[in-house]
Amino acid sequence: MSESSKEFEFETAIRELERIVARLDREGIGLDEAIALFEQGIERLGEARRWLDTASGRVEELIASSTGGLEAMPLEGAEAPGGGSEDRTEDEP
Amino acid sequence: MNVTRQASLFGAAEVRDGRSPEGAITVSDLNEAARGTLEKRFGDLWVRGEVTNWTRSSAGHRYFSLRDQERDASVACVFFRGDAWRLPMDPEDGMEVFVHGRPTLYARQGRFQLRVRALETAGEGLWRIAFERLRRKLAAEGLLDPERKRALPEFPRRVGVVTSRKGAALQDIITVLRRRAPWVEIVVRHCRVQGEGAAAEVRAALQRLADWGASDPNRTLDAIILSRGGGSMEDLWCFNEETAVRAVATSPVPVICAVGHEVDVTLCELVADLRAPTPSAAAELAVPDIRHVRASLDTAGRGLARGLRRLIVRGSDRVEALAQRLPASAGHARDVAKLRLDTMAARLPAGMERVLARSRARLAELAASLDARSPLATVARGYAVATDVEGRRLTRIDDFAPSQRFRLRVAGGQVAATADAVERDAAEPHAGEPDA
Repeated sequence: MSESSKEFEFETAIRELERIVARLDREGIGLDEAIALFEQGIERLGEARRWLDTASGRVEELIASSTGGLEAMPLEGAEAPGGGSEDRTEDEP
Repeated sequence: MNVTRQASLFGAAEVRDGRSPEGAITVSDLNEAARGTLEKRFGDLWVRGEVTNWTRSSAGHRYFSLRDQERDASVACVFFRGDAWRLPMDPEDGMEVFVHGRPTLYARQGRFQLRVRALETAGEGLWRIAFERLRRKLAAEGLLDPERKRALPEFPRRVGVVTSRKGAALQDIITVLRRRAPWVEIVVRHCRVQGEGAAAEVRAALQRLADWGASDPNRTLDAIILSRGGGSMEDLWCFNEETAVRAVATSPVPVICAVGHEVDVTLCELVADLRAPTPSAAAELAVPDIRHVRASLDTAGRGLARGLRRLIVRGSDRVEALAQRLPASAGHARDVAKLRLDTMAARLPAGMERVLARSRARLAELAASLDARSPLATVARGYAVATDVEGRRLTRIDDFAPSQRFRLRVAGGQVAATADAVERDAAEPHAGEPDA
C-alpha cells in the first residue's frame, strides 16, 4: 500500500486550515498569535498544494492469491498513475 | 425412419423396417425416429397456455405442463437450466404464458413434450412482477428509506470498483477518477455483470472488497462504485436479484451504483447510497474535481491573508492614533510602535497573495507617514536627538543638569552619555529667572 503510516492527511490539513482562518477572523486576537497562526496556515497551505501536485494513486485489482487470500496487483491495461495527458472532454458521449 | 441392416445367421442381409415381425425395430429406434420427425416437422414455435405443476429439479431444470383449459388439453414442458436461469421468477400456477420452444419426444419414456427455450407472461411481464414484488419487500423492510443513504466522504482517498474487467464501464470509471482526483487509489474487483450466477458474483465482489478494505487501516475504502454499461433488461437483470440487492444494502462501505443507461432503474440502484445514470457519472459523484479542491485552497489562502491584513490595518490605525495623541516628546513610543510594524512586515513570508502585497504597501505607507513625523527622519539627516533614560525628549538647555545621564539617538543607534557641563548660551535666559 501507499506510504502507510505516514500518509499525508489532506482532509486533516484542510480542516486545520479552516480552523486557522476562523481563528484569524476572530475579534480580539493578538498580533503575535495572529502572525503565528498565519505562518502555520501558510505552511499547511503549502503542504496541501505540494501534495495535490504530486499525489498519484495506484490502480489495482484485487485478485485471489496463491494462499487463498486476496492481493492487490497493478491493474493490467490501466493508465500509469499520474500519466497520460487527460485531455478528454468532460462531456459524456 | 431408421432402417437397420443386420447380417443374418444365413449370411444374407435382412431389412429391419418394422414391416414384419422379423423386421421389427427396437423401442429406442422408434422413439428416436419419432423425435427426429417431430423436430423436423415443427421446428420452434410459440405456444400459449396456462402453467400448471411447475417444479424445479435439483439440477435446476424446470418441468411444468401447459394447459388449454377451454379444450381440456395439456402438454408436458421441459425448460432446461441453461435457458431457464434467465427467468426472473417462477410463474405461478394458472398464469397465462407464452413459451417459445420445439415439440419433441423424450425418448426414455416416449413422452411428447415441448422443449422450452423462453417463457413470457401475458399481460404484466414476469420481470415487472418480480421487480415490483422485491421492491415492495425491500420498502417494507425500510431498505429504500432516504435516511439510510450514507454521505460519501468529501475527500476520498481510496475507491473500490466492482464491475467486469472486460467492460467499457471500467475504463470510463478509471478515466474519470484519474482526471478528477489523481491522488485517489482505485481498487477493482472483477465480477461478471450478466449471465447465470452474476448476482452471486456481484455479492461476493462487494463483500470481498469491503473485507479487504477493513483488514488494514491503510486500505480503508471510502466508497465502492458498482456499475455496468447498458444492455437489455435481461442483461441487467442480475442487478434486480435479491442476492445482489441485499449485498448493496448491507455493504459496510457506501455504494454508488450505476447500471445501464438511465432508462431502467434497477433495485441495486434504489438501495445504493447514491445512484448515477452512467458509469462515468458514478465516478464523478465519487470524487471531487481537483480544480475545485485547488480553488478551495486558494480561498483558504485568501482567508489567511484577509485575517492578517485586517489585523495589520487595525494595528496601524492604533499606532497612528497613538502617534497623534502622544506629545512631541514621546518619540520613543512611536519608534517602538514602528519597530513592531517593521518586525511584523519582516516576518511575513515572501511570495504571498496579492492581497498580502497590498497589506505590505499599506504598511510601508504607514511607516513613511510615521517617519515624516518622527525624529528618526531628522536623525537620518545627521542630527542627534537627546532623550532622558525614560525616553522623554530633551530639547532645551534647562532639560539638562551637570552629571545627568541621557541618551543620544543618532542614525543607526543610541549613545549613552553623561553631561559634563551645562553651558547656557549667552542670549538664552535662565529658566525661571526674570529677563534682565
